[in-house]
Amino acid sequence: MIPALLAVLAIIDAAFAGFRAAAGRDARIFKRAYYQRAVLVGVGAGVALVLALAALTLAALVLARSPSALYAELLAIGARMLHVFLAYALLVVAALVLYATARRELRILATVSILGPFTLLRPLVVIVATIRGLGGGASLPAIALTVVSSASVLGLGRLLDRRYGREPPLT
Amino acid sequence: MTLDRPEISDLVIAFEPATLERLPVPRDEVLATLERHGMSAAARLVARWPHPEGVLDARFVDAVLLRAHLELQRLSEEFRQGERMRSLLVPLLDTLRRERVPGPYRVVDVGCGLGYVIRWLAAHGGLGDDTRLIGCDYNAPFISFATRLAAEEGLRCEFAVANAFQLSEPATIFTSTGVIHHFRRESLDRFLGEQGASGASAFLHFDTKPTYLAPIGSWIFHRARMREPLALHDGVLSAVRAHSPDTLAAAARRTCPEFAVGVHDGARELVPVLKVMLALVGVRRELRGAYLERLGPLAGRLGELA
Ligand SMILES: C[S@@+](CC[C@H](N)C(=O)[O-])C[C@H]1O[C@@H](n2cnc3c(N)ncnc32)[C@H](O)[C@@H]1O
Repeated sequence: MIPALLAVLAIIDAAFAGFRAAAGRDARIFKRAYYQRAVLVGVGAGVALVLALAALTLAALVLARSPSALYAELLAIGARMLHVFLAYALLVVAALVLYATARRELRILATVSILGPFTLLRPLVVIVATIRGLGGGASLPAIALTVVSSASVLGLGRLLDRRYGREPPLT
Repeated sequence: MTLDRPEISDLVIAFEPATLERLPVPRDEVLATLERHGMSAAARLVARWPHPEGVLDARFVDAVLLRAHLELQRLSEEFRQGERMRSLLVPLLDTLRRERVPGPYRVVDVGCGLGYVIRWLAAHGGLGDDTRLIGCDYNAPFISFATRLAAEEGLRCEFAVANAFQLSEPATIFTSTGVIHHFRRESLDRFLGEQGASGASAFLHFDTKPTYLAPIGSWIFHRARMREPLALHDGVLSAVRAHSPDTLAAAARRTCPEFAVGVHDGARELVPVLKVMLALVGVRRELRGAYLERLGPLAGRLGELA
């Protein structure tokens, strides 16, 4: 359950990162297809990242002296991190629902006061979750896996942004 | 003095007023102006730009401005600037029809940039066959980009590199979004006076609403949304430079005596978080009653139209 939740959150996060990377680079009026593609690219990148991290974790487990102890430790770290991520996700979803359904003025409040700042806070949220996850003390392999996972989630956003930045502005 | 800090985009590009020919911009003059206003961060930014023989590289400047305006369009989308314009424009066009002002009605967007609002209106406005949509800007690359975009999506609108107040076919309605704060003091009077004297029937100028929360809100929002440093810098500064409703109304009443003038969403709010834009609205006095009637409940947000 915990690994599945973390994986789903990472993929959703990558989908948003895909959208953000594409936003503000295409001046057409009708861009549903453009944004859909950007979200799909994000999802694809997210799935690839999750698979890579899963493979890395598997390798670490195979190599560990006590795989079950390492796995239990990773689960505990993941559970602590999930608290932070789920709280963040809940607020973002609430703001998105408001943005999608409210009248114009409230919509703008949602985007200016929640969605905008929360985009800014995202790296901090990942860092806080990582610190909280590792807070109780952890073994070296668990620390390494956690830090690599968090860093790669943050790095993926940058990568997508770079990729879109390279394309010329019109078609 | 701090209030009149210039935006970088106003300094790094210049045109010959009569011919709109692009003028070379000496880099050191821009840096000196920025330093004079105590804007060292902005000066450091421009200092990094290429400047063969001391003149800012025009193609580089165009590329920066284009990226900034692409990001600005994203904000316009999020802020629904097209819908906003339509909400005041549709009743205005209805007023013209009812008062038998002869058409076709030429809606001219002053300083249209990439033409987002005009193209949005062409796509979604439903303004009627008697309405023409025209975007004007001094910046030629913007206009050719806007023209290509409109063609690509089959939108019925035109763009021209022109001074909006000197078109061969004059405007019926002047509009703008995020433009009037670029004009300060005498140039604001001149801007408003020119359109007042142009024979137009009305104007709708949208801009950021200056409130005590606008600067911080704008900073956070631009920080989150803008990648281009110039877009971040100028976007934040423009919230600080936005004219107050009183300044706008007073200037328009002074310079456009034939117009009834009001400010839409200009009312002061205790917690100013819902109304982030205001609009300077002017209609020829003889159209005032009919427009108020057509606005219906929106008239309540207009304050006084006098
Ligand atoms: C901040 S930009 C436009 C932003 C645009 N309205 C948007 O929302 O994306 C202001 C532009 O106004 C143009 N401009 C200023 N006065 C003008 C005039 N009288 N006629 C045409 N363009 C004008 C300048 O060339 C500049 O590019």
